[in-house]
Amino acid sequence: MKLSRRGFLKVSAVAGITAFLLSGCKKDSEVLETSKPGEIQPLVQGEWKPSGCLGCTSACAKQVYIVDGRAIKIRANDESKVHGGNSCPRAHLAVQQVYDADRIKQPMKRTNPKKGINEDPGFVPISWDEAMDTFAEKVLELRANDESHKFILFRGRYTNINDIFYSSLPKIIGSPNNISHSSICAEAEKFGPYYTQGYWNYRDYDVQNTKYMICWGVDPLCSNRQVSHYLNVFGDLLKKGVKIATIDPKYSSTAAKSQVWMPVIPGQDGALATAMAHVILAEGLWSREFVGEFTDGNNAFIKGKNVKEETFEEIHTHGVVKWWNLELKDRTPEWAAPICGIDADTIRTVAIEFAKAAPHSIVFMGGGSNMQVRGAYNSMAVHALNGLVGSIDHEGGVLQGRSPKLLEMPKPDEYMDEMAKTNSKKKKMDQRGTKEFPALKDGKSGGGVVTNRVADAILSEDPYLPKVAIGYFVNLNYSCPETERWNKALSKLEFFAHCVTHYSEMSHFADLLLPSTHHMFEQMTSSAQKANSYTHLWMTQRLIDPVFDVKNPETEVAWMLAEKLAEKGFANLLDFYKTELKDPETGAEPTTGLELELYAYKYLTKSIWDSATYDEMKNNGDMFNNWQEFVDKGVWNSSSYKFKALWSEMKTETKKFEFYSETLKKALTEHAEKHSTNVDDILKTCKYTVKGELAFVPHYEVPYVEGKVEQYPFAFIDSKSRLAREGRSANCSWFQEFKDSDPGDIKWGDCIKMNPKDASKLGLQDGDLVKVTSPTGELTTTLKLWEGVRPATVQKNYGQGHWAMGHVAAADFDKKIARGGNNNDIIPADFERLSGSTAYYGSFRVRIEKA
Amino acid sequence: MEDFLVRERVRAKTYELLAQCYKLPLTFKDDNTIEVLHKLLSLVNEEAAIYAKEMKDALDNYSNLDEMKFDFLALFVGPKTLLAPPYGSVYMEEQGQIMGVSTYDAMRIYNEAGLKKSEDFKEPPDHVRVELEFMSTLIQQTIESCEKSEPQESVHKIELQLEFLSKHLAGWVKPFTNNIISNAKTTFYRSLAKATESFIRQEFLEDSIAMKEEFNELNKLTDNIN
Repeated sequence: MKLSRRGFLKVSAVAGITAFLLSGCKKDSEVLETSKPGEIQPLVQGEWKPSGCLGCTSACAKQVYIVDGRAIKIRANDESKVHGGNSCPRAHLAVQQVYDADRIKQPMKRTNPKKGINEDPGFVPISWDEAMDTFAEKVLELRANDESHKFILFRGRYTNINDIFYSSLPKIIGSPNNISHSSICAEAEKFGPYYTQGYWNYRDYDVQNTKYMICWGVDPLCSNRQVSHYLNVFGDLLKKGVKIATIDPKYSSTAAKSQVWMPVIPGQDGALATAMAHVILAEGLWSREFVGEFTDGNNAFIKGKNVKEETFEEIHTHGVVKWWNLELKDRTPEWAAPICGIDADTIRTVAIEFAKAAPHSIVFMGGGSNMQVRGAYNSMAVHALNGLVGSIDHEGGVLQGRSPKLLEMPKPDEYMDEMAKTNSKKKKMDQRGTKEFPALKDGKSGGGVVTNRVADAILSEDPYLPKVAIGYFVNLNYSCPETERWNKALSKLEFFAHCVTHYSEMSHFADLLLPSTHHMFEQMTSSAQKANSYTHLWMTQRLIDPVFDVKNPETEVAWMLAEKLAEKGFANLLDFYKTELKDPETGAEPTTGLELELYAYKYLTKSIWDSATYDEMKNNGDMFNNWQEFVDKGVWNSSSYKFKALWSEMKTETKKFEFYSETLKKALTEHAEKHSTNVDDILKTCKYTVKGELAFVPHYEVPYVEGKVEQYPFAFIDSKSRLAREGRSANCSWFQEFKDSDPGDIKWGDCIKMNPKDASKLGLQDGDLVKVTSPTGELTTTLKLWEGVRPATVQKNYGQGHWAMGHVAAADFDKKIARGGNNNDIIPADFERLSGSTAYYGSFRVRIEKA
Repeated sequence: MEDFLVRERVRAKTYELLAQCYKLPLTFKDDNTIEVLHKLLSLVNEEAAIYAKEMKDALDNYSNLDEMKFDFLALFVGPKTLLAPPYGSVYMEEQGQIMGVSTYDAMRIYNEAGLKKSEDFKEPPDHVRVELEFMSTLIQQTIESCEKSEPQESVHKIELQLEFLSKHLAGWVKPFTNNIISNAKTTFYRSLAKATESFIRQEFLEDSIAMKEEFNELNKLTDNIN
C-alpha cells in the first residue's frame, strides 16, 4: 500500500480546521456551470461557414472551418465570382489574430492622468458599464458647454453598416468630426479616374479577356488589390501569352512574373506616362472607336507640332488635341528616358504593344505612381492611357464594377437637436477645403478627408482643440507618416477611447481601452468588392463566441453609449437606433447592441433578400428568397458586366472621358473662388508648379522630393508586405516566420534593401545594422543587398517596427522596443493636396550609415 | 471511508483556494483565503506550506494591495503582453495560441463531469482559475458519489481527476509558474507560483495516485463486507 504520503494527513490533525471549511458545502463555482451530457463530443468533422476578410480592401469572401465553436482554418468562399475558390495567404493569419493571448481582454481605464510615450498608463480593468458611463459623461460634458463639435470619431477598417456609428453618432451628438483613414489608403489613386471619367473609386480590370496588362505602381500578387484573384489568374494569363509589363521602382512580386520590368525612378511616373501617351498618338495607335479621328484621316500628331482642334472629330472623349498641344507634343521617349530612368526603346515598345493590343489592354494603376506630393497629375496621366486606347469600360479593359443597390442607411437629421445642427456644421478637424487642402473628392472643395493633417491641427489647435475622441480599428501614430506628431497630438486629447483588438501604439494614449471583436469570426460583418468583372457582397454571421469580453464598436459600443446617454437625459441617439433600425422582417425595435447589429445588416441588404425591394430598386445579380437563404450562402454576386455602358455617359462635366478635364477646371475654379483667388495660386499653394491651361490636362511635374541629393543620396521606396493585414498582423508568428515571402526580406526581422553597387561604394555589407536618416526622422534596421532595386534607391517594406501590438510584433513590448523600424518614422508628413492623400511614394530621400 | 472523505475535502478546498488566488479583485485583506490555504497546505505538503506562509507574510506587510494588483495585471491580464499567460494552450501547443486542441480537450473533460466554463467568465476555458476550480469540483463530486455509495460514479470521477491532472494542469504548471517566478514583482505572486507548482507536482506524482489506491482498497473492503 502506497498510503504513506497520503497518510501524512492524519485525520486527527484535521480537528484544528473548522467544520465550516471542510463541511463540503462548497460555495457555488464562479467560473464553471453545469453542462448537458454529450454537449461536447470528441473532435468531429466541422462545418465550413461563410465569412469574409477585411485584412485589406480586397474584401474577399471566405469560409471558416468551425469545429465545436472554434475557428480552425480559412479558405475562399468559392461561391464568389470575384475570386472563386482562390485565396490569398494573408487571410489565414486571421486565425492567429483572434486566438492571440495578447488581445485586450476586458475594458480598461487609464489611472495615470499624464500622457506621453514614456508614461505608463496604468490601465486597470473596469466593467463595460463603468466604461460607457465614463464615456457618456465626457460626451455630455461637451454638450453642456456647447462644445459638442470637439468630439472626434476616427474610423479605420470598417464594415458596410458603419454609417450608424461613423456618420450618425457624431452628427446626433453634434460634431462634424468623423475622420476616416481613406487618405492614408488611396485617394490620389482615385483622383485621376475621377477627373477623367468621373469615378472616385478603385477600378476593376477584365484580365480574363485582356491581351496586354501594365501593372503600374501596384503589386497585385502581393498586396491590394484583389490578390486572391490575381494570384490565380496570372498563371493563365502567362500561359495564354498575355504580355505583362510592370512599372515599379522595386522588383516586386508582380515584376517577377512579368515579361517586362520597368524600374521607374521614384516620382518620375509622369514623365513615363506622358511619353507613352505621346507615342500612342504619334504612332497613330489611339482608338478610333472611342477617341475619334482626324477629319481627313491623316495623323497630324507629329512631334513638336501643334494640331488644330477643328481637324479632329472626338467621339467619347474630350480634349485630346488640347492635351497634345498643351503637353504631349514634345514628350518624346527620348525626352523622358533620362528623367524616368527607362530607356526610350522600352518606353516606345511597351506603348506600341499596349496600344496595338487595345482595346483588350489595361493599365492597372495603384497608389505608387500618384500618392506623391505632385501625384495628382500622374494619376490622370497614367489612367488616361486607358482612355487613349479605348479600353475604358471595354471587354478586356478597365471597368467600374456593378455594385449591389443597397438600402441607404437611415439619416440622423430628425434626431439632431439645435446644438447638433449648429455644431455639426463647424469646421472639421482635418482642415479639408482650406486653401492649402482642397481635397477635391467627387469634385467638391473639402469633399474628401485629409487624415494625417489632424495631428497638426490638434497641435496647432486650428480650427480648435478637440477634447473627446473615440477611434476604432485605427492606429494613426503607427500608420501615418511622422508618427511623433501623433504621439504629441494624442497626448493633448483630454479623453480618448480606443476600440481595438490589441494594445496598439494608439492605445498607449487612451483613457479607455474598449476591446473589440474580430470582424471575421466574432461579429456580423459585410463588405462588397469587385474583380474579375463581377462585384460580390459577402455577409458573416457571428461564427464563434467572442473569446474575451469584447464588443463590436459599430453596433454594441454604439448601442451601449446610446443607452448611457439616454439614462443621463440625452435620448436622441437611442431613439434614432430604436426608431430607424427596426427588424425589417418583424418590425421589432432593437433592444440590445446585438439586435441593432442584426437589424442593421438586414436593413442594408433587404434589396438582395426581399424580392419586392429587389424589384423596386431594380437591382442586379443574385436575388435571395429570404434573409436566411442569403446568410447561409454568405455571398451575393452581381450580374455580368455591361460593357461600353459608360461611353458618353460618364459622370464628368462633358459626360465624356476628359483628357482636358472640364470637371477639374470647375472644381479648382470653385475652390479658388471660395478662397477669393485664382487657380494658379491654389496650385502653387498645393506645391504644384503648373500655371494656366496646363492645370486641366494630365502633365509632367518635376517631383517634389524632401531632402537634397547631396545630403540624402537615396530615393526611398516604401512598399507593402505580403502578409500585412493593414499593419495589424505583426503579432502573428506566421507573419514573422514567412516574412521572407516578401522578395528580399528576412524572417523574424526587418531590413532595408540596397543595390550591391551602392553598398560597395559605401563599404557596407549584407547584414550590417544601418541607421536610415530622412529629413524628418531616423530608424535602425538591417541592410540587405538586393539587385531588385536600381542604384540610388533603397526599398523597405511597411509592417514591422511595432513597439506595441504584442510580444511577437515588438522586440520588447514591455520596454516599448520595436522589432525593426516603422517606415512612418522617417516618411515626412506631406500630402497630395488636391486629393487630400498622404504622400508615401517618390517624395523623399534618405542617407544610410552603419549604425 | 470517513477518513478518505476528510482527506478529499482538504484536497477540494485547497484547489478551490488556489483558484481564488488567481482572480481579481484582491480581497485577501478582508477574507481568510490565504490563512486557510496555509493551514490546509500544512496538512498535506510541507514545501507548499512554506510558500503559503510567505504569501501570508507578504500580505501582512502590504498596507494596500495596489502593487499586487498591478503585478497581477501584468502577469495575467494585460493590456500588454502577459508575463505569465494563464492559459493551458499557450504552453501545451506549438503556436502558443489560445483556444487550441488542448483547450477543447479540457472542455471535453469538463463536459464529462457535467460542467462547462461559465458564460459570465469571459476568458478561455483553460484559464488556470477554471482548471483549478474544475479539480475542486471534480473532487467534490467524487465525495458526493462516495456519500451516496455510487462506486461506479466515484471510479469515473477519480479517473477524470487523474486524466485531467496528467493531460492538463500538471502538463503546464511548471512553465506557467516559472513565468510567474521570473516576472513577478511581488513576493506574494512568486510564492503563490511556488506553492501552486509544489502542490500540483505532489498531487500528480503522489497524492492523486495514492488517493486512487486508497479508494480501491476501501472499495475492496466494502465489497468483501457485502
